[in-house]
Amino acid sequence: MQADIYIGESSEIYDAIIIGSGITGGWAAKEFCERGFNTLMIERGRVVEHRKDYITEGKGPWEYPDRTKVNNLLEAEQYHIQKNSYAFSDTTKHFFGNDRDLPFTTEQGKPFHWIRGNQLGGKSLTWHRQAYRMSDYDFNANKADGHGNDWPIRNKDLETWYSYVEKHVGISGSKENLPQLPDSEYLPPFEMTSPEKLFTKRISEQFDDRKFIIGRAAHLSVPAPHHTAQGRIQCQARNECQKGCSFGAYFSTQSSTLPDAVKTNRLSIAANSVVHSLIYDETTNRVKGVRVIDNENLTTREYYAKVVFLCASTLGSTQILLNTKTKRFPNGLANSSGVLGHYLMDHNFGAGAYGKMEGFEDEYHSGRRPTGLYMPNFRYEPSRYSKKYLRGFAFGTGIQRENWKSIGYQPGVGADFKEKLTKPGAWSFSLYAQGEMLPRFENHVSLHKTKTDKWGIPQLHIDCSWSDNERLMMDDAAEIAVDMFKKAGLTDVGSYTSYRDKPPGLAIHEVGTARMGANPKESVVNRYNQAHDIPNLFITDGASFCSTGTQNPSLTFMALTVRAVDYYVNELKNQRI
Amino acid sequence: MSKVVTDTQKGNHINNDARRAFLQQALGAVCVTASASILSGCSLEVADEFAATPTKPSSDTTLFSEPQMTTLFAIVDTILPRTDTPSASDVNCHGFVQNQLTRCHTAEQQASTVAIVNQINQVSTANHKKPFALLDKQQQNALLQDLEAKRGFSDEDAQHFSFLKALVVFGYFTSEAGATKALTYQAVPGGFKGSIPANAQTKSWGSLDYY
Repeated sequence: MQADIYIGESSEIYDAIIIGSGITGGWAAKEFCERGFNTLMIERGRVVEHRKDYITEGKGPWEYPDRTKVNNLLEAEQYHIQKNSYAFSDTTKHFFGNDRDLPFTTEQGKPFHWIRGNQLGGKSLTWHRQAYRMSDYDFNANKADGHGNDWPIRNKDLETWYSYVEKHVGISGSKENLPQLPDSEYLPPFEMTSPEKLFTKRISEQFDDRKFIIGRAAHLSVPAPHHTAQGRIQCQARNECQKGCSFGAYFSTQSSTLPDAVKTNRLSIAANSVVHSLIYDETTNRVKGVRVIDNENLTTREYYAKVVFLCASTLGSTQILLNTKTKRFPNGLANSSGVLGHYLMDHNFGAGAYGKMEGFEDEYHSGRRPTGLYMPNFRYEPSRYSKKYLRGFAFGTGIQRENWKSIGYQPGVGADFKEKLTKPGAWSFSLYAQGEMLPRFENHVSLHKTKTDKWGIPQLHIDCSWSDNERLMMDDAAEIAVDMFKKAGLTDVGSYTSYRDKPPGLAIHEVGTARMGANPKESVVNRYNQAHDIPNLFITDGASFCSTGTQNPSLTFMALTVRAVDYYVNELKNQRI
Repeated sequence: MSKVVTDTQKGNHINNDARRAFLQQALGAVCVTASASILSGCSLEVADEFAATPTKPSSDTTLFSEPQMTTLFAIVDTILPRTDTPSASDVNCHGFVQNQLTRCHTAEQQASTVAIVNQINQVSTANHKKPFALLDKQQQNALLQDLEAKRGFSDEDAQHFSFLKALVVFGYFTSEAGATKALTYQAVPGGFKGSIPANAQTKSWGSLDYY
């Protein structure tokens, strides 16, 4: 990338400022630049260049001093929160925030694991790449059962934008015509293994309302010409994505949105720029720009623009708004409703089951598929709810032949045992739930009254916990998983619940805290992600969500963002903004 | 074990020379008693893979005394002996266990692993009047099988051994020889195939998603 796109001080008034460079920020930059806007992308962390900065890519485990494990002292001192993420290891830790530098507080007895990715590309480098549309059942859920506020949008508002981003991103998947999980625009799906095919068949035979499909993932199973033109090639099935992928085979800011934005020559990037707050003009009721503290030398600077898009992650965006206090908005910018910071949600992964399928000793697979089987939520409307709780859950899976990692715990020593460790073992199945979390006012974030971080910014205080609804759902999900495994003929079946040990945050699907709504008195942004209070301020990341659904949220972040840019551009063209 | 805890907490930097000298002495002694051809597996280059980098804290990796390391050496090779592929000690699993315990595991896990190594040697001495390292292969196998079956050992002993064994297995199959020689390694598979034939000779993939 040409060096001159990285800027320091600037007095220019940009057409648009985008705060954040992850999945939403990257999309906002691409859209604004391609529509002719001089755009400034602000990133609090360092620059990560595609390919060049994927420093651990392709290394074998023996090339790490601790064989991919992270030194316990380093974890204790600098990664005591991040270490809880499934994707955190010595191979990926440079793409995770450093907890020593990024302190936050939680309410007594209510831990929250805030997983951070503060670098150019944000968490688009480390995301799990599962990509699902939300359905009208999801958008209607709050209205249907009276929890949370009604989403002001439905599928018809988003479907063209979903299609638009999907074609560019490249989503592998299969058309299924499921009412609760609308189809996307697809590249060919990844193959199932033979035991997976049999399992899927048996479940469909026994349960009218349940179907396992291949997980839809933002991977180039077969690249389209426009992917190849960007230097992206077919997924090589390494499944080491969180280290970065020089093949550009999965969607990230670096592989997909940033190259298009850069190509226009209209993008500037201010890296190492920690946004302290927004600059608000009381007389015009517009934001004028942002106040920034340098990540490294702590000096301050300002950037100016005609519109500001907050794409700083759910809690990052809300923290910036809360820290922008003005005469009109003493409790945080664009917070006339008082709901800013409230209705924080995440997905609950706190239950699952495991088992084995006999046979198929003559079957194996080649390559490491970057997705698994997925069962969409079958409790997607009140008439299908359990009597014990509201809403539902999806299931993800891990299905493979056992290897030394589990066989090593079986009894045995000596040459025969060693031989056994080198051979593929039984086909082992696991299911894990991904449950919806109800929107609740009391799950909220605020600014700590006294504690600040090294940039002098008040620390975020998080007060969030599972409710009985989430706990009862997970208890049920464990039972349902076992029942399905048994009916599918699996053996050695067992289940677990882990929600007691796994606080919210770990799904890294945190959403809410600046929710959208039709009523300005009870929501922060309108149906176009535009702040009700301030016309040239948009919040297009997960903060704007009204409910979680059961789907991984990133695809919806993308669709909301491009739709918001389109809306702003039209409003500007028609001089309504 | 309080010394270990204190050193770990203080994050003492490794004294490379001292460690090198220790390993030379400890491993050298064992190599001589075992067999000359093992010497290549005692290479300090392998041990140096475990050295901390200056950008991150390190801890004192001297967890096992010289006699304990001798016992551990024999234990790892009883678990994974040399066959047509290297043994555990050939790829320095004993050094790996010490490194990994002190750098990536808790003080409790360190203490319980040292304790089970001592316990194995004590039982050997009591039953055979010889340290574990000097038993013949059948005796070594039998003793560890007794341990797993809790014959003359407690539940807790068996748990501690299970942890140690899993650590040895991890160390072996994440070593270059373990991952690429004992197993089949695909750095860049080139795509995913859901069904390929397998038979009794098919080796597991040594290239895994997460380790």
